[in-house]
Amino acid sequence: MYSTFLGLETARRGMATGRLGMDVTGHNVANANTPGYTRQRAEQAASYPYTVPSLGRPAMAGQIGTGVVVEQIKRVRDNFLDGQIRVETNALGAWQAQNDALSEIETIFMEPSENGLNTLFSNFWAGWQELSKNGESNPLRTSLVQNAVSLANGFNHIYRQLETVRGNLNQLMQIDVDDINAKAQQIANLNTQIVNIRAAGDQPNDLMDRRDLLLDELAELTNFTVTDLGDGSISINIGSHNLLDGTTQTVTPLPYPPNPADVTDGALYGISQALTKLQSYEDDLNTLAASLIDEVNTLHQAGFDLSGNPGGVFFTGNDASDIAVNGAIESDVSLVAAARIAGLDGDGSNALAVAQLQNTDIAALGNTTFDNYYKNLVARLGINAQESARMVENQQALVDQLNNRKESVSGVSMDEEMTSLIQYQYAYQGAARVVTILDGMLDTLINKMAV
Amino acid sequence: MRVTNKMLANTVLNNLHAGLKRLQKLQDQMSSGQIISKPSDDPVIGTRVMTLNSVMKQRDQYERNIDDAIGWMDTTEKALGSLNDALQRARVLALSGASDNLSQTDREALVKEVEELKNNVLQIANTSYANRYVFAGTKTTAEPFDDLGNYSGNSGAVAQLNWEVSQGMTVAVNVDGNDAFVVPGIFNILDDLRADLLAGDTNRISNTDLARIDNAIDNTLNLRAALGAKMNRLEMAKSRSSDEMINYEQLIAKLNDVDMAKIITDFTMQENVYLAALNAGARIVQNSLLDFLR
Repeated sequence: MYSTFLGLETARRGMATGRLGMDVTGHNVANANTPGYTRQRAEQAASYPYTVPSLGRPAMAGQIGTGVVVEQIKRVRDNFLDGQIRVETNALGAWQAQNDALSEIETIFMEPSENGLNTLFSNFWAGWQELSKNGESNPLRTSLVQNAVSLANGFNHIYRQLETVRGNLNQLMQIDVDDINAKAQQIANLNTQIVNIRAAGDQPNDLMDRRDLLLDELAELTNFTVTDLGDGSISINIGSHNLLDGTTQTVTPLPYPPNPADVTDGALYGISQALTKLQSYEDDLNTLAASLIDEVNTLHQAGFDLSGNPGGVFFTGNDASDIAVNGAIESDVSLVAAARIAGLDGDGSNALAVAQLQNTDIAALGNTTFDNYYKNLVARLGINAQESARMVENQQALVDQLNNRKESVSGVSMDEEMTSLIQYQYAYQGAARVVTILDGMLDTLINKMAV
Repeated sequence: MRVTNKMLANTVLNNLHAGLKRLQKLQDQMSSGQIISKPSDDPVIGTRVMTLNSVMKQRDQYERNIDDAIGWMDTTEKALGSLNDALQRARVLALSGASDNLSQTDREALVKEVEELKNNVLQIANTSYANRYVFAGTKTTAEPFDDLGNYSGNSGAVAQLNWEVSQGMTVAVNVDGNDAFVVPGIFNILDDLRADLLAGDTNRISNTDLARIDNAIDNTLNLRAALGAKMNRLEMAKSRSSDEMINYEQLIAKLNDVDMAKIITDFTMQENVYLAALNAGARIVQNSLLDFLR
């Protein structure tokens, strides 16, 4: 025979489990919008029945249930999805960083428009054409020199803007590296707590959520591999760089600039790719400016100015950063050498020679014209920017879809939680009612029976 | 598949975001009137538009060069026309001066007119266009002929004003004073005619002077014919260039100009899609089991 009070204990367990279930549900509802939160579930099981088989067991019809226990409070999470999301987030971060930089560079070039270098070049050549028809004219020289100054300023401006973008990208990279190191430290702290709690036999669900969220955020910045050490702790490697050692919880900060062999994806990689592209645009711009300086000066020095003296350099400087119209010419436009022969003031054949550079294939530019070289540069920039924008869109769609799948597994559904709440509520009410019934039974047994 | 409230919210948000982005793009195109505002919108068309823009600017410049060339040549041609008139008059004077019936007094009256004629030709030889002496070769800033008819301009290849009228094609727009006045010896002819009239040498007038005047007239006519042919060619080049310009403009419009009717239709359609997304969002997000639990 078993104890008269067994039923009370069974009902108490039911009530306790119901309450716990409601608490877990309440926790889920409260965190429905918490980033990185994984819904939790109280894993219930029937508790061990009475009696255990043994020779001395009381004689009765069979085993009787002893109620319910909550075995663990579990995170509902698909770890495989986590890995996939992080890989795709890596690529998204890389393209996003590139796209941000390239869009900015695109606006610097201002093409196609009336203010871009393309138009400034056209005006520059037109200035020489006009002068070629009117070799003795000072007003036309002035307008030519002004067009040339605009062109030189256009080069300077684009160069300076590109340098600003480079500065910003470097700064951004520094910030990202700092961010990665800070996150590694936070993960190390969480590691310690998780290991301690796990050692005590508990499930540190919410701490693990926070750690997973940090890893998700880290995936935007860089590629990394996670090693699970089994005791709840994780190690993180970026390429060959051991960022976090999970056994000692020591963080080795990622150096700035990071080793390109280690960082092969994520925003850090995107920034370094953008820097490489930026450099190539800048190189092209410099080549263009240098050839312009070279070609125009060579022709200009072969001509003669209004006073019959040989022409000096028309452009000073070496590349896009410092190209400028010779100060002497700017202050005295009669120094523009329009004539091929000294003293023939109406001769504009040297100006015509310069104007005809517009359609001349320049060896230093790979046998293409100035105009076409510049157009190729802009086209390359356009194609790069277009590709990055398309990749961002694709990756974003992919990451969104994966996140949706993750949300489908781990997200909190209000309807579901409400349903559970009602289930637990009725379970609790039912268990409480059992206590009342047993109370009545015991009352009868103890108080109403004649002794 | 399990669907949570956050998924619904995310979907609604993503759709709204995408809708707004498309609206923004259309609005940008509508307000700028251009399909391409940056190279990445369409790198191929973007560079074509840039090419067409610079080609059109270049064509524009060539057309202006042609206009200037025609203006210059027109002035030259008119001057040569006046020169022709003067030479014809000289011929008439020479013919009447050669007549043996004329008294020496009458012949001396003709001398006055020949002197006037020489001054007139000097003026023609110093014709200027926009303050530039058209017969001075490339020394356009100084009067090419002095009072005696001595030429101070230059001649030959260095005297040519070569202007580019289409890509790689230059045209010498000027006739230098050497070719027009010095080679046919116009001032010498007039001087000799004057001297012969004064001397009453009718023999020389009819035998030498008249023939030289005829030669000079031929020379002038040849120069005018050559100029006329060049001007014709330039006019043709200009009208061809204008036709091409129209083609380029149409092409650029086709590539880059917004079709307003289409874009407004697209915009309205996109706007409806956006409103529908908003509506759907409002309905889906507001209801849950909570609304039905007491």
